[in-house]
Amino acid sequence: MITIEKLSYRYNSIEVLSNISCTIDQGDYIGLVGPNGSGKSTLIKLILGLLVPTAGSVRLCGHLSSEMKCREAIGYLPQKMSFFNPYFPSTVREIVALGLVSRKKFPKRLDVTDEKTIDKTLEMLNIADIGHKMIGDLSGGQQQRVFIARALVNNPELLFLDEPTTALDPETRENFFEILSNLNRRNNVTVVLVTHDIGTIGRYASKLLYIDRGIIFYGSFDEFCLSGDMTRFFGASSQHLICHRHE
Amino acid sequence: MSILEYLDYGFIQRAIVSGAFIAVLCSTLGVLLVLRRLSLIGDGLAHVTFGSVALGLLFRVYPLYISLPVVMASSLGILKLMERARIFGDAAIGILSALGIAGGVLAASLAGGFNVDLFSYLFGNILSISVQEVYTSICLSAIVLSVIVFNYHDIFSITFDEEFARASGVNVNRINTMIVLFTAITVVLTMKVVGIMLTSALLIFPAVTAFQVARGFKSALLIAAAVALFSVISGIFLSLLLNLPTGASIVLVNFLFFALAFICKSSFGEKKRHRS
Repeated sequence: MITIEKLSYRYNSIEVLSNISCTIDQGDYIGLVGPNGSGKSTLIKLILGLLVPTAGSVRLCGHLSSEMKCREAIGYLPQKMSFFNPYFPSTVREIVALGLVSRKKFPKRLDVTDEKTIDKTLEMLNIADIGHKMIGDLSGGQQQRVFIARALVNNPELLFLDEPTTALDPETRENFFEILSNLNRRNNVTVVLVTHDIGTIGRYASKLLYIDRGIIFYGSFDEFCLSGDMTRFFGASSQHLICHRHE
Repeated sequence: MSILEYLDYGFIQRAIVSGAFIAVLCSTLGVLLVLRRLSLIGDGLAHVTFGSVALGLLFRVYPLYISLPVVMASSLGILKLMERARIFGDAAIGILSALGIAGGVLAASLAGGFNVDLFSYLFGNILSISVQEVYTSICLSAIVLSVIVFNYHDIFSITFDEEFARASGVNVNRINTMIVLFTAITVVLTMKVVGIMLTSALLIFPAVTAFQVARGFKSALLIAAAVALFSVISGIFLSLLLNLPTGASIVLVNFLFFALAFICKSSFGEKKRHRS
């Protein structure tokens, strides 16, 4: 479903990503992890065609990502919007409805079915009671749930989530991971989730993709815990902490 | 003379009809521009309009024929500067704005100084709008508003979160180009209503007034349009009744609406805090 070949990206003479090659198959649940500045968000943006690679290529659903095809199959949660305007005059429903735009053809009108889909998505994330509220009147955690709802509302086949659990309380976080696991298991939705928390994502993801400008590790969580290379990279005690972490 | 008797005059009918269309157009674009932090693009393009009007007067060409293409090209220039020169919108606007003013002053000096015609473009004179200008205003406003309505969801998506819109497959570059070109057309049309000096007021005031009281994006657009419409029409009548400059009257009524909305919002917020 996603094929990355010798992908590199340079920004202002700084090499952010170098020579990345890997494949993500349909139904995979990938935990994309790495330290700050390792290029995780950049990789997501390259896959989505939001950035142009310096070298190499990314294919999404068989097409180059720059061609912007199969967008109706994609759900995307960007990293907490740095330019988010808390005074933007928009209700929760209006923002979640934006997630349906990709499925619509000109002149892109929402119908009764779409309204019901929005209702269902709001209920799934326990924000049905604030559907009429303005986005700026919500707490950080509620706003994040609204953006998650926007990513999920169009029943995507491919989900890209950049640090989705930021600002979520533990109960909401667990509920969110439950929803993702169900989507992945039952609907075969491909999930690529960026996080710093290897221990938590290891409980849910089928594969870990650890990057630090290049691929350091790509495999299952069990393989990660048994890998001698990872022991050398992280150190035995750090690896043990990650692999045997208890909530 | 009563207000209804004023409506018998052709020049007042023309002012109200063209003013109404331009008001709705300005308010709609104004909501988008203010939210995208491009509030001063109206000011910048108005300065370019000044330069192009001065050129038109120098070469004795009807100013609209020069202003429209020059201002549209300048709006695209602002977009390209933001993309290629990697500067924020305010700096790009500042560059074109300064060029426009400088060009206008040069053209005016070559023509022997500022004259009455140039002053009327600076401060507007909607009461002298011609039949041809009314038809031009109606046609251009109707076309621009229709395109905005048909592309509503894409425009809303980009205005809220451009990155998400792009990832969703929205043709962001096409929409952004459309919006800056529409802004250029609107600024040129507005110069007759409130003049080059006050154009940005018609773009900004209805939008910020709506933001005080709106309970959603659609309602913000509708409230802004209503405020703009009422401000233009009441501004025209106020200027007639009190013998005041029309452009300035329209802007002051706009400001009064903003002040009222702000006070209502503050009082309502205060009452809510006391209750809780």
